[in-house]
Amino acid sequence: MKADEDNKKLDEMISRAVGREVPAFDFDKWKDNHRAETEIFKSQTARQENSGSSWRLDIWRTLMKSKRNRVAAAAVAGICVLLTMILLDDAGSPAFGMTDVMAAMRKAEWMHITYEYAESDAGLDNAEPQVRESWLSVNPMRDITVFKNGDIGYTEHSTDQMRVQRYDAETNVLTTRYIPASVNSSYTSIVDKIFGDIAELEERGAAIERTDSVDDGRPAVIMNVDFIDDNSVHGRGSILIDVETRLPKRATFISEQSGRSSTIDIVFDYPKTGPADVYQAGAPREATMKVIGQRISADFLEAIAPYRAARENLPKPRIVVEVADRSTVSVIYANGMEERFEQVRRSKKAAPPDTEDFRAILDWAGKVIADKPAGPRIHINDGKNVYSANRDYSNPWTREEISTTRYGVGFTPAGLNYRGWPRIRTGVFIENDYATKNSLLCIETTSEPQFTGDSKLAEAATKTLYYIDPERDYMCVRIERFRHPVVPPWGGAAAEEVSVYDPKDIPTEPYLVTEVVQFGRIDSGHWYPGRISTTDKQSWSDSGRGWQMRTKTFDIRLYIDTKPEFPEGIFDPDRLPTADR
Amino acid sequence: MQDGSELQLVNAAVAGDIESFGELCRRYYGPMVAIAYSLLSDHQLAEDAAQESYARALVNLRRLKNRARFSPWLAAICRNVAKDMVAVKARRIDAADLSQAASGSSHNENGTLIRQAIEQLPAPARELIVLRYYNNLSYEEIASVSGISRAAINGRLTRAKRKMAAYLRRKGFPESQL
Repeated sequence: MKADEDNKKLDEMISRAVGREVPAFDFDKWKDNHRAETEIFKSQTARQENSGSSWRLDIWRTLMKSKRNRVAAAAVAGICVLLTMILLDDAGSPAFGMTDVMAAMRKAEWMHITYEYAESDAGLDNAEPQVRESWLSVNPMRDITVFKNGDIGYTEHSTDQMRVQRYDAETNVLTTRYIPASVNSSYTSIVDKIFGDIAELEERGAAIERTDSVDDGRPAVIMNVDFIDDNSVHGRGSILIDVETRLPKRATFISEQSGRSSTIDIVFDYPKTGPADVYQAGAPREATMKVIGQRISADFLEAIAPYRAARENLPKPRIVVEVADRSTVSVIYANGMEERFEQVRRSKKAAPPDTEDFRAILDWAGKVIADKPAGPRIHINDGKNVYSANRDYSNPWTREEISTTRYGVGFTPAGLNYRGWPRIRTGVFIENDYATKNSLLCIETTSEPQFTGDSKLAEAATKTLYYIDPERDYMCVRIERFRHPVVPPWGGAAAEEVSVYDPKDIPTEPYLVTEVVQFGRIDSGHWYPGRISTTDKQSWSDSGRGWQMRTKTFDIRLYIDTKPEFPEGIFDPDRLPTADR
Repeated sequence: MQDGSELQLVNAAVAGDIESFGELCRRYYGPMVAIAYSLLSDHQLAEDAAQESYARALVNLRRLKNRARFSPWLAAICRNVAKDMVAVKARRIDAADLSQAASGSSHNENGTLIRQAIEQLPAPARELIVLRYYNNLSYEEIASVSGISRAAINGRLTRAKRKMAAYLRRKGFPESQL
């Protein structure tokens, strides 16, 4: 029997959740956007070699490949400069070295770069030169590129979030996306990026020639580089550097091989200022706006800092036992960067003990895991990787290793972080009656609706209010969630019906309220949520008479031990259960 | 899909016919986007990853040792590109965030729970599920890009869906819907 025949309902739900019609692939457009690769491919064909790219093409490839990160493209322009300087340094006769140029570039608040790329091929019609113009600023770190066809790209980086904008001249639509910044894309200076990119080029040899010159009445140095690379590509480069400022002003690189040649002309200047946004770069203010995600403001980051600090500084070592609705027991061991999460669920044979005794519940969970019934799962996070072991009804224990870049720190969907200090990435601080009356801070977050591939509503727009108690270690003591009822369970409304799901037009009564109803304190005085109550007014259930929306309440209790004796090897991923044990 | 005509296309592409490479790209665009989506959970980024993987494939095409296994090779490149994008672009799946939507109950609607159930699968199973349902690929198409037999796909899909069902039960998903 085919897997598909096992369960039609589940198939249908999966299709709705992830199904999507992939648009047709436009190869001509792709070639246009990947001219460097196409050129490499052609040159490989000409040589009938199975070798890689040439030096020149590597540069252009890097210049062209990143649609989303123009900084990389601009950095490559700097590479041209710095390559020459490095080689000059190697030659042992620099009047000033790379460090001087790097320092000067760091000081330049704005850099303006114009590129022109042209190809010529003897006997063929040559394509029109590609022209683009970029501005880069260091603080804030942003880059703006204006393309020849009128499109405009804008990216602004910060430690928490990237703002990526694209103006499409053809449709007159300006799309803004707010994307959380990852560890790997956190703020680094433009010049530091250049350092990273040039490393692989340092080994190349070349003939360097230096000529003193004058440019616009100012003393300048012209560096010429001439070489033939491993693939017989003849490269020539020329760069002009202002002696006083140590800043590059113009560069030209030409590569030739088998009758083909390509030229990159780059002009640098360092204005006092530049376009601060896409509008100043030329996007019309009447362009249709499309916003994806929620912006993180500097005020928000400042205001939420104590909350985040409290989240990071929860007492350790600790063992937390969480009993959710007397059916699911989670145990979280935490010590420094190490964390272990175990979760077992009530079954007919094994129900959690009806007790408030921390040790009795902990022992019960351990016994359930040891007895290996279906359902338990264990994760260990050693700060670098998450090691996971799961067991279900049909399989023995299975294991998986995942980088924490995917799960992040505090990955467990239960316990102290999750219940008392949930991750709040973005939002705005607001004031309302409840917050004022109870001396709480209130953060409002919203989310856009999401749709399936067949334009059905997958998730309605939502609004969430987090109430934070500054007197209790900034614990989140109440959460209210708002949304329009999602009418057909496991289905979704059609896209044309979704105007009512706009987050600006959301019901004023929450459909779900989660509240800490009992507080606890450990010996050090630190607060923790002892008991949490959740009321869900949009809980769908099928009792045999069709789907009905009901109100349901849940009860979660937390028990904490801050002077734990950890069982031996509790954080050792090699001691996770396997199929054999 | 791995038939004589595809091999001819690969041979022609290696010989320098870029339009043959284009035809291969068109054929595998859906599967490549699905593979990338299984790692990125973002439609736009998945398309970017698929297109970037074509760029890497084109410049390395002549390094392909077994031309009969073009599509699994392309799929491997696509996975690597998508993994790079996961690390760099931060459009990551956050298990905690996904779970938050369904915290402690089965109250939340379809999409979140189902995606969460997919998310908890091991990576190979997750990719298989997305390949099957993202663009409604046939078993033949999945077999072509994954390099495994139809029978193996059937077995793995069955096991993956059982795991999903078990997960959904644990989350309180109504039994009548499973």
